[in-house]
Amino acid sequence: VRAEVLKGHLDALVLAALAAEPAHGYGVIQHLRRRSSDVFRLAEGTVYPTLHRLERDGLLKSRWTSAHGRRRRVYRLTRSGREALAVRRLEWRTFSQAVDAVMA
Amino acid sequence: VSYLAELQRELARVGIRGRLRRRILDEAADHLAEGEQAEFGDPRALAQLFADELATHETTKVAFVAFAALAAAGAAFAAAWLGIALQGWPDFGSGAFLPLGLLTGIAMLVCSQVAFAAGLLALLRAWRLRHTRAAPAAEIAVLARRTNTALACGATAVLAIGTFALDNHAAFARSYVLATVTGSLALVVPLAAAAFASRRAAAVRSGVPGGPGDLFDDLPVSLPRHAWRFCLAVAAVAALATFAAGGLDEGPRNAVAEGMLVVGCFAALGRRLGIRR
Repeated sequence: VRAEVLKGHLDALVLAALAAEPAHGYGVIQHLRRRSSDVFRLAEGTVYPTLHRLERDGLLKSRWTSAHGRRRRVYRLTRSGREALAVRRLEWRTFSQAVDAVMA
Repeated sequence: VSYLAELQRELARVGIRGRLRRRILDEAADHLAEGEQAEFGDPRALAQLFADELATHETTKVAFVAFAALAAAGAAFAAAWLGIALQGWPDFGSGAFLPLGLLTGIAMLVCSQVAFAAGLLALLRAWRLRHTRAAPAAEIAVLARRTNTALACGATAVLAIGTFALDNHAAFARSYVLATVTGSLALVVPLAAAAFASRRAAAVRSGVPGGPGDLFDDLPVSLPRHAWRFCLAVAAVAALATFAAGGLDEGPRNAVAEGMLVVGCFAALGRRLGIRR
């Protein structure tokens, strides 16, 4: 999948990845790869501007934790984040069903 | 040069400093301890991605904060102006120090109106960009110029009315002079704080290409894109309002002066404030 296509949906994918459990940036990337069977591959650093923006928008919260002697920033969804994810899921289902209907 | 050192340099290049830069570097260090450096992406592109989004967010946020500070200053300025009107306007040359009276008079009349117009223009653009992820650098620059002009003129107008009250203290009640001088000094503080925040936001350099846009892009309604005709219409409305306020004695003179002031400011600041291209 081209990076440009993936970037358009990165916000929703990151929210969905964090819906299961709080995670750090690397964990989010791994989740996206695993769940997409390695289809979603993007420059890993680009997930951080997205995480920071979603946090500024109040959809995520983060805090420093300590793991294996390293400082690690862990992100989790807020209530607004869960609501935004529900809206994005609905939009995606409507969109993908329409695309399927046209492409079939 | 290590990847993190290069990322640090690139973040500094785009104006990301302090706590945020440390946080980005700490997160990158944690990530690279587990992942591949090659997979993390080009440090220059990553730093620019942060800056593009941050510049838009910070400049827009500062514009809203500045407008709130200007609204408070504007309300206090209007109250002080009303106080002078109720006590009777002294002659601009009757103060303790003649040039000061003239200067403060001009500053009160001109700067207050420029601050109002520039603040309103900044608010219009900030509102339009409020959900934009990364606006063109040129659009952000215009927004910052509007905000800075509004803050500078707002602070000048507020200080001018305080100075005017002090210079003409013999013509006003003691309590009025004290309240106006103290109030004007106090109101400069939030304006200066907003100006400081604006300066910090401007340090972050967006690299998004695109034009600066103008007033007609910012307006929520579609109008014909004739900047000078728009200016003349605004000047006519301002002149009419001034005429109505001045009555038959002073109205015509004040209306002409007001109309000329609007057109003059448009000619001098129109491009800088992104009203015309």
